[in-house]
Amino acid sequence: MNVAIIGCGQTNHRSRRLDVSAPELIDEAVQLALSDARIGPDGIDAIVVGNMEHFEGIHLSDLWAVEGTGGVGKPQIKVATGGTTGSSLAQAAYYLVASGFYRTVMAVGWERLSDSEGETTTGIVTAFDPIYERPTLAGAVSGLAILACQYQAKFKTRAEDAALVVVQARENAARNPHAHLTKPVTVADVVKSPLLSSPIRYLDMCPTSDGACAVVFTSDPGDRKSAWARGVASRHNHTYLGDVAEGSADFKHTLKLAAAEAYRLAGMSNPRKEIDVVEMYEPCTWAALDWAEALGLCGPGEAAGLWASGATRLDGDIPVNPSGGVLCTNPIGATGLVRVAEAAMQVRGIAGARQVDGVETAMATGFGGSFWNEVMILGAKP
Amino acid sequence: MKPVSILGVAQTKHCARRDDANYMELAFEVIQDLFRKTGWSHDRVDTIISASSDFWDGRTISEIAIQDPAGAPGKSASKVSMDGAFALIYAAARIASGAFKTCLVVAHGKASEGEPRAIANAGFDPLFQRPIGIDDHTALGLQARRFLEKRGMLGSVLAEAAAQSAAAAAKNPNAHRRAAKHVLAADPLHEDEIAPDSDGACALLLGEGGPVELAGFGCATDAHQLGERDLGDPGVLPRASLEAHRMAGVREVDVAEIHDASSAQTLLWREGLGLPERVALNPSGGAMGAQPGFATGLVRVAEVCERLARGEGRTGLAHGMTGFVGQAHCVWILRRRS
Amino acid sequence: MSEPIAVRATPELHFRYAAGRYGSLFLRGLGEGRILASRCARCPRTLVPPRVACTHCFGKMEEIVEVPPRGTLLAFTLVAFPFLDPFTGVQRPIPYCYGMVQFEGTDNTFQYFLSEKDPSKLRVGQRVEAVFNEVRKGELGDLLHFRALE
Repeated sequence: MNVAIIGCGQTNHRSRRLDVSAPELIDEAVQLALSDARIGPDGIDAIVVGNMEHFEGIHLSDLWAVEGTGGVGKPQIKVATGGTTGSSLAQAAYYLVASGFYRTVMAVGWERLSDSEGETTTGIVTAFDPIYERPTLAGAVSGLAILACQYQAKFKTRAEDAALVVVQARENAARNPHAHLTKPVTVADVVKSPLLSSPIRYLDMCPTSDGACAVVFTSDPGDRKSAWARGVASRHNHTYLGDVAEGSADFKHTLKLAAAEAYRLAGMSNPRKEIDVVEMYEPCTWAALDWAEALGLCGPGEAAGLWASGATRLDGDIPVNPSGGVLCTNPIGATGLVRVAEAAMQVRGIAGARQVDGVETAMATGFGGSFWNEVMILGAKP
Repeated sequence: MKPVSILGVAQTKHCARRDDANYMELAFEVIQDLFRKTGWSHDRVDTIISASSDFWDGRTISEIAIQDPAGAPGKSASKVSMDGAFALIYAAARIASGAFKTCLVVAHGKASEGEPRAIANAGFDPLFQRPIGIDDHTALGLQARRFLEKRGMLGSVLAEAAAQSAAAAAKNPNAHRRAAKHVLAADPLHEDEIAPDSDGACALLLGEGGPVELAGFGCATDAHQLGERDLGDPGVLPRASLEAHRMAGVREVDVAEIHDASSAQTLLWREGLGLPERVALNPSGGAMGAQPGFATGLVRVAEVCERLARGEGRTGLAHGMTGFVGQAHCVWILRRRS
Repeated sequence: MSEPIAVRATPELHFRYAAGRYGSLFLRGLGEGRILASRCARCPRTLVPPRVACTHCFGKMEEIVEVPPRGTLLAFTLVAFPFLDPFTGVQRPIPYCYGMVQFEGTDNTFQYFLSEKDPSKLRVGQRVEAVFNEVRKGELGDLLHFRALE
C-alpha cells in the first residue's frame, strides 16, 4: 500500500522550554501537524511515540505523555532507538500504514534535554557495554571523534574544511523559525571554539534542544498536499563499538547499505541527480563529510570540496539541510523525525524561506545507536 | 489482515537471577533455541524487532546489547520500548506491508540487575505522584482494594486465584520457582498474590505458512494518572479485546494467556476480556508464574501458540500490557491453520 | 504569568550488571595479566573482548584463546570536556586519551585508555602495548592503559 505524509508539526526548538510540561510541549507539535493535515484527532487511528527515557529520567515516558499525544483510548506504540528514534518512528508509522493495519498513523517524537541538566553525555555513555566501553566513552562526542580521527587520517582533511559544514548550516537555520541555533558563525569561530574531544570542537558538534515533532502518515490522502514514501530502509550494526569498523567496514558502512536499499526501492540509478534535497542527520561536521560520501553525493574524500563548491547550499545543485540540520537543532527523540518532516515539507512545497525550488524528491536520514542508519526517500508522486 | 503466521517460538526458563548470562548471552540462548526448534538460521531472517526497557536494563538504547545475537548487523531492525506483545504488532506490520518475508521477534527482561520498585517509581508522574513514593506494587494494591470494594468481594478471592495460578505454574517447566509467602505486601495483596520479578527472554519467528496464524489484534492506551481511571474496572482492555476479536472474526477462544501482575488482575482482566468459565485461563501459570519484564506478554503469545500447535484448541487469546495497573493493553487472537 | 516552576528529581537507581560467562573469563584473564579473545573457527574471527555471538555468522564462539598484549592504534581521541560519569555520579577526570586498538591476531578493535595525553604525538597505525597494574583484582581496571611502542 502506498503511504503519504500529509501533515507536519514541530515546536520552535530551544535550549530550554520551562514554560511547558512535556505533554504540553508534545501537544504544540501535535496540534500543528493535525492542522497541517486538515484532520481532527478522530482522524488518527494509531500513534507511534518516541523519546529516550534516560535523558529526562522518566520511565515509560510515552505513557506519561499520552495526554499530549492524544493517545487516550487509542493504540499507541513506543519506538525508542537512540539518535534514530525519530527516523524509526517515521519508519514504524510507514509500516503500520503500508501493512493496512491502520489508515492514518501519527508519529510523535520529543525530547527535553534541558531536563537532564546538561548531562546528556552521561545518558549516552550508558548505551554501551557497562563493563568494557563505558569507562572510556564520552558519549556521542567521543564516539564521533573516533570517526573524525579516522576520516582525517585517511583524507588529510583540515579542521577548516569540516568547519564549513556548520557555517552553511547556521546560514540555513537563520531562515528556519523552528531552528534552535541561528547565529552566524565563521570558520575562524569554529576552529577557535573549545576542544571537546579531538578533533571535534564545540562548534563542530550539535546542540542539545527541547522540542517535539509530529508527522501524519496515511494511505488515503485525498486531495491533500502529499509527500509519498518511495524508499524506506534501515541497516543496523554491532553490539560493541570496537566491532563497528571491523574488517572492511567503516563508520559509514550501514548508511551506505541503507541508502543503496532505499535507492533500489525508489528505482534510482543516479541519486546525485535524482535527489533534489537532502535532510541529513549530521550530529557533527566531520560526520556530514563522511556521510555525504556514503550517500553517493560525491566520491571518497571529496566531501570537503563538495561543501566548498557551494553545491550543498540552498541554491546549490544538491542542497543539504536547508533547515540547518542537527548541527542547529537537536531534541534527540524528535531529531530524526524533524529530518523526515523537513524533507516532506520540501516535497510539499511549504518550507517557506528555506524552500528549495522545484523539489520532486527529498531524502531524510537518521543516525543512532552503534552507528546504525536509516533512510527515507520521499517523492511528489507515489 | 494479510495472513502472518508464527513459524516457531522459544523461551528461556525464568528465574529470579541469571548471573551466568548477560543480555547478549540471554538473547543468544533463546534465539539459538528458536533456531534449533525451527531448523532456521540467521541468513533466512529478513528483519528483527526487539522489545526491552532501557530503565530495566540500566542502559539507554538497550537493544544495542542484543544486536549481534539477533543477527541485526547489516539488516533492518528496530525496537519497541513496550511489552513484546506490542512489538509483535510492529513485527507483523513489517511482514504484512510486503517489505519483508520473515521477522525475528525477541524480548528480554532481567529484574535482577536493577531495582524494579525504584524503577517503577520513576514511571509515575514526576511532579505529583513520584514524591509520594508510589511504585508498581502499591499501585497494584490500590487496584486490588478498589476491585474488591466495587465487587463486594473478600480478600480470600485473591488468595484463591493466586493458588490456582501457582498450581498451574508448578506444572510449567519454564515458570519462575519461588517461595513467596502469604504475608501482606501492598494491602490487600500478599506477597504470593503479586507476580514475581523474573529474569528471562522470549523469541519467535514470524513469516508465512506456519502452523498458527496471527488472526487479529487490538490495543488501546488509558489515561496516565491513576485518579483518572476507575482502577476497579478493566479500563481500555475491553476496547482492545473487541477490536482483536472483530479483526479475527472470532467470537470465543479456546485458551487464553494473560499478563496478570497480581491475582486481582487475573480476575479483573478475565472480566475485561469477557472470557467465559469454560475458557482455560493461564494454563502456564500466566505472569503470576513468571514476569520477565517486557518479555512477559510475548511469553503469553508463545504459550498460546504452542498449545494451538499441539492441537489443544483451535483459537487462543494472548494479552500483554505496559504501564501501571493496565494503562496500555494489547490483545492478540491466534488461530491454528487447518 | 509568574516564573514557571521546575522540580528537581535525582532518582537513585542502582544496577549490578552481569558480566556473563565470557565476560567473567575475560576479567579473570586480566587479573592474570592476560588478554583473552573468543574465536569462531568457521568465519574465522578472533574478537576482544570474548563474547558468545560471532560478529560475522552470529553463531556461537566456541574457543577462548590468549592474544599478545600488543596491537595497532586505529583511532584515538583526547576527551577534554567535563561530564558526569554514570558509574560514579561525579565528574570524570579530564583530559584523558583513549583509542581503538586492534590486538595482534584479532579482527576487531578494543576501546581503552592511552597513556599519552597529547594527541599530536599519536598517529593512526601506531604500535601500542597493554600495560597492566601490578596489583590486579580481576576487573577492567587491571588494564592500566596502552602505551606507544614507537
